[in-house]
Amino acid sequence: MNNSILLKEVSPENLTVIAGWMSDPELQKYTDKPIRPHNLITISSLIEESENKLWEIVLNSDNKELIGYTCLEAIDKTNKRARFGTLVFAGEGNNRDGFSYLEAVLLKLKYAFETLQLHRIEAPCFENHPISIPMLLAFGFKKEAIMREYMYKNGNYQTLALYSILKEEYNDLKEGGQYKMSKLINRFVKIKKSKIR
Amino acid sequence: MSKSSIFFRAFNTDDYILINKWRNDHEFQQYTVGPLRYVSLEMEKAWVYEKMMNNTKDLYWAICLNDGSRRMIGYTSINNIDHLNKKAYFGGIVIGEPDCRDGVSLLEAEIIKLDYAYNQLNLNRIYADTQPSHYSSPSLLLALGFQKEGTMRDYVYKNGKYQDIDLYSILREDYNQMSKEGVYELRNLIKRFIKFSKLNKKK
Repeated sequence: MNNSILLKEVSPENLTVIAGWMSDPELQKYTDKPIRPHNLITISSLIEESENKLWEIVLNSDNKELIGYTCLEAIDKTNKRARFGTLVFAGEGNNRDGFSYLEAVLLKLKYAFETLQLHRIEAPCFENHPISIPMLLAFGFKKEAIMREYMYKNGNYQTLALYSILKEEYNDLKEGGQYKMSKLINRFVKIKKSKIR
Repeated sequence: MSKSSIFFRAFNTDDYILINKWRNDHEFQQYTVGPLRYVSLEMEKAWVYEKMMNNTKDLYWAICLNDGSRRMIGYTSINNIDHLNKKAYFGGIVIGEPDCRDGVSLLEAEIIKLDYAYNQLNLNRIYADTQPSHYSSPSLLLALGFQKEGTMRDYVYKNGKYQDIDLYSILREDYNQMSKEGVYELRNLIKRFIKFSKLNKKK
């Protein structure tokens, strides 16, 4: 089955748009980064340094419309781990139905485990984030720590939860067919309803 | 509070010789979270120089004896100082000189470090990590009032396998409360350290 989206190397003409999204307080409200204005220079480390990998997310159609961006961060080649960076969809509403979101996460995991051959992916996440947490759990991430008052954002110190998935867990779930889109959607919906955290 | 048996000072250029000697003690380095590296004297010199000249994000100190000799016995650091989120990483501590490894200088150094982090740097959260089976770190952190936040699975590759690392933290309100209760007076801290060491052994 063809994906409805693609992760692509960021093209120079899209960089300004992405820097704008990175500066948007609404889009960045629940990320693990401070909210600050960005431009081509401030985001250059995301592109130039080998410990980060930035992608643009585009629709898998003829015009390849830009709908978001995502990244892997703090790629550590000795310990074979990385942080699952921000995933932002900023296009029109019809790209934010959750389907492209799940596809993007799956493509990222695939790249991290199968191309980069990493061993561990970790994801810090707002303690009660209504979307990220069911998404991470649906993909088989496990909660491993509560980082108290980890950062100051939106007027308060925020406690973040740390989730992770190991390569062998990813392989097992993949071989067991658990990463088929229908299964992922079912699990996501079920976890979201059950309010498992 | 009685006078501490140690004091902190900034690195000096020739500290690299002792630091290099300690760093190349691989028996000792097995228990750290960082990767084992072979570091030449020249690299060490450059490293010490860099730490001397940049003290905003990472702060390094030489730990010296307060007995008139001013002998350097180890070093320690506070790293990733993040003033926006008011947090920092509680760097490791090396007591390199074998005759000073009785634990007292270690505890005294940790008291000075926490005091500096909260009362000078005005931080809110100090975090630390350690191998769960480390011979003293978990008890030391608990004695200092840190709480365990969780276990990061397979976090580092060391000594031939992926190893779990435990994450700990102490918040300002914890620190203030503990200060009020006298936890950071040396005699009380020694008692707490012994108590947590015994508890950890039982596990």
